[in-house]
Amino acid sequence: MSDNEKEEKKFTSKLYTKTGDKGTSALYNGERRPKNDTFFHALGSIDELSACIGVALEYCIIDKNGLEPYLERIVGVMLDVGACIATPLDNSQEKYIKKTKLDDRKYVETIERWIDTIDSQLPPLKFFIIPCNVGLASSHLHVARSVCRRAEREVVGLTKFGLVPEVVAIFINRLSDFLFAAARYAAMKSGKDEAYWTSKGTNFDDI
Amino acid sequence: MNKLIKISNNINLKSNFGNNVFLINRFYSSKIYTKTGDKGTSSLFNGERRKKDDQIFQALGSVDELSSQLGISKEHLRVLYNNINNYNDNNHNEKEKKELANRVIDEIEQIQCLLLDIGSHIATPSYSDEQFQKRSQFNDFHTTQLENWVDDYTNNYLQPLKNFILPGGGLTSASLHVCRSVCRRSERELITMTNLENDNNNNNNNNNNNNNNNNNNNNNKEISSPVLRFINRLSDYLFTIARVSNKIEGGEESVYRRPSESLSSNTNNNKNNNNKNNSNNNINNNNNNNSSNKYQRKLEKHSTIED
Repeated sequence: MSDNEKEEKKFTSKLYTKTGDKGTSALYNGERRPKNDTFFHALGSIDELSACIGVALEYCIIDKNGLEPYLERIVGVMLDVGACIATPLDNSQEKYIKKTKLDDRKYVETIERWIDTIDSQLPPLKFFIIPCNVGLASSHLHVARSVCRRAEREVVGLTKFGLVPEVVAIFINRLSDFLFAAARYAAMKSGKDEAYWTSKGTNFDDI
Repeated sequence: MNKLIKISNNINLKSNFGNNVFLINRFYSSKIYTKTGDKGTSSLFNGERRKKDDQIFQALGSVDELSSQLGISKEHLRVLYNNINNYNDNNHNEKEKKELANRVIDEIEQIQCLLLDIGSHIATPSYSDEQFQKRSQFNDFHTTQLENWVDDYTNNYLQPLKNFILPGGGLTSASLHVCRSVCRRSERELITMTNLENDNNNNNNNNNNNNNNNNNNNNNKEISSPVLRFINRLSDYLFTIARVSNKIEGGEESVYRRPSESLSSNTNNNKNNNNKNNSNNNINNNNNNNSSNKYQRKLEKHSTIED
C-alpha cells in the first residue's frame, strides 16, 4: 500500500463498512456471529424499542406532557443495555464484562421510583384498558410497550442460560410497566378518557 | 371492464400454474378477500403454496412492515416539506431544506418500489421456473446507488459522526430510526430464510443425486446476495437520512452520554407531589427550564408563525 493510499484510507471514514454483507456482525467482545443469532435478535429488538420510544418522545414533546425527561434518559440507557447484552458472560474477557455491567440497584430502583411517581397521579386501574382514542403520544407509548415485551421475550432466552446478566431482564420487565404507566399518563394529560374492556362482551354490532 | 377481461385472459394463458381458479375468482369478484388463506397457507410468486409461518413469509412480512414504516416517515417528511416557509425565495437556507426534503421523499418512494421487487425475489425460491427467476432478479446496481446517496449526504450535508446518535431529534428523524431498526430485523429474517432454503436445496440435491457435494454445504456459512447487500446498505442509508431529516427539522441531535450522566436518580420529579426529596426540587426545576429549549422543534416555530 502506497503512502497516498494509506492516507486516503485514514481520512475517508465511511458509514457503511460492507463487513456485514456476508451476513455476520460483531458483538462488543469482537466475536463475529451470524446476524440471525439469538444475540442479534435480542439486540435488534432493543434497538427497535429504542427507536419506538424515540417516536413516542417526539409526540410527548409536542404535547409537552412532562414525560420528555424520562423518555430521553431511557433512550440513552438502551445503548448501555445493548452493550451489556452484546457481551456474552460465557466467553467475554473480564474487562469487557466489567465495562458493560449494569448497576442493578441504580437502574431497577430508578425506574421503579419513576413508575411510582407517575402511577401515584393516575386514577386506580380497575379494568383492562383499551389503547384506543388516547392521543398520539399515548398510542405510541403503547406500541413501545408491546415492542418492549417482544424484546423481553428475546432477552429472557439469553438470561435463562446465564449468557446475559439477570438485571437486564428485570430492567426490561420493569420498563414495560413504566411504558404502560406513561401511556396512561400521556392520555390523561391530553384530556382523553380511558376506554375499558368489559366482561359483558364488546360492542361489535354493525355500524 | 375491458381491463378485467384482459387480466383474466392473461391468467388463462398461464393456466398451467396452480391456484388459478382462485386468482380468476379474485379478479372476477374484485373482492379484496379471497378466503384462500383461511387455512393458514399463502402462495409464493411461482404459485407454490406454503404455510404462512414459513420463514419465507416471515421475511416477506418484515420487508412489508419496513415499507409501511417508510410510508409513515414519508408522510412526516411531506408535513415537514409543507411547513418550510417558501414565501421568501431569498432565504437560501430554507430553499435548500425544501429541496432536501423533496429529494429524500423521492428516494424513499424509489426504495418502496425496490422493496416490492425484493419481495418478489424473496417469494421466488431458487428452484422456481426460469421465467419467474428472470422476472424477480435483483441487481447490485441499486446497492451502488444507495452508497452514492449515503456518500453525498455524508460529504455535503452532515457533520462528521463523533458520538452515538440516539433515536429522536424530530418526528421524521425518529420515525426513520424505527425504519432502520425494522430494516435490521428484515435482514435477520432474510438470513435465516436464505440458510433454510440453502439447506433444503442441498438436501434435495443430495437425495436426488446421491452425491455428497461438499461445495454446496460450504456455501451455507457465508451467504451473500444482491438482496442481502442491499438490505444491509439500506439500514446505513436510513441512518443517514434520519440525520438529514433532523437537520431539515432543525432539532438538536440527541447524543449518547455516559450512564452516570444519563440515568441519574435526581431525575426531575416536578410532578411528584409525594416526593420526599424536596431539597432536590429547585435543581430539578432549573434542569427543566434549561431543557425546555432543547425540546423546541423548528416545526413548532413554523406553526406559530402561521398562526
